Amino acid sequence: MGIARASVEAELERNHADCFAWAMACCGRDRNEAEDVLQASYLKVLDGRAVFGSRSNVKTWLFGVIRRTAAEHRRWRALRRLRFTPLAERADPSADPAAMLAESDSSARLISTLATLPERQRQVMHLVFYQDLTIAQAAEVLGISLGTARTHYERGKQRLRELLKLEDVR
Amino acid sequence: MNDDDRELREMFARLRREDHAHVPPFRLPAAHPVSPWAMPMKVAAAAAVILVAVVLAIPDSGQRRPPVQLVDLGDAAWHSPTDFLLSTPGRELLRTMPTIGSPRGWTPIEPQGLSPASESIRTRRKPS
Repeated sequence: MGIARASVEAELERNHADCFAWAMACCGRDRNEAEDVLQASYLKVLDGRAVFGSRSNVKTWLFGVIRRTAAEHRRWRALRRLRFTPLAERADPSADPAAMLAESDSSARLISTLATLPERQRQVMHLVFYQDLTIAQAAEVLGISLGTARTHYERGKQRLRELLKLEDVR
Repeated sequence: MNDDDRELREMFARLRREDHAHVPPFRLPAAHPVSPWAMPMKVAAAAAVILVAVVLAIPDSGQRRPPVQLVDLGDAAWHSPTDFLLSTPGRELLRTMPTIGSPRGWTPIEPQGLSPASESIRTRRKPS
């Protein structure tokens, strides 16, 4: 079932802040890359390359589009880096300290701890705790089963607690 | 929700508030203008590819072949190149009826220089 363009634009604007945060989470908190991914995702939605299925709500659908676009973007960038950058100049894009800068110590600690989790666990943590989605909705966004999402949720939460407690001890 | 969950939720909520302060303004992406000729061009290109594929797939019927010479089958005689394998030595014996009794003109050969033992066996076998 399609949605009228005007209502799609309204939905995009309404969810823009959450979509940007999710794009940041999918891009290892690289702001520039997140903005590119978000624009590419909006373009897909507006020109009809991403089609809304009635099985999901608009927010989880948008998040799914952003996740897939970020993955495509990452593959494309990796390919470009391999083809055009000499080996010595290759750097880890996620290790940009400016991108990791956060206002409070607590947020900086959370971001650095989240970065140590496996990607799936990190994404589930973000969707459930940051975006206030249910585990079922998180599973829908990530295209995985509910059981798998629940496993990632439990393991991610446990690991996050352990790491945050370890940092408290230090 | 236990205390640990609450603590995690508070940390994420703080991060969310801070992130929202730095969200770039919403702007719609500049749409790529779609040319009215884009679709017909795609169709034409696909048709050209299919045409080339069909032309390459069709066997060359115009290829010249040597003219076929007609043969009168009434005059033709054919021999297998492996006929000689059937010409085994002594095959005339296989094609004749064997006769019972000694053939005419047959004379037994007398053995010479036999040992006494074999001589006694020979004489014992002879009907008296």
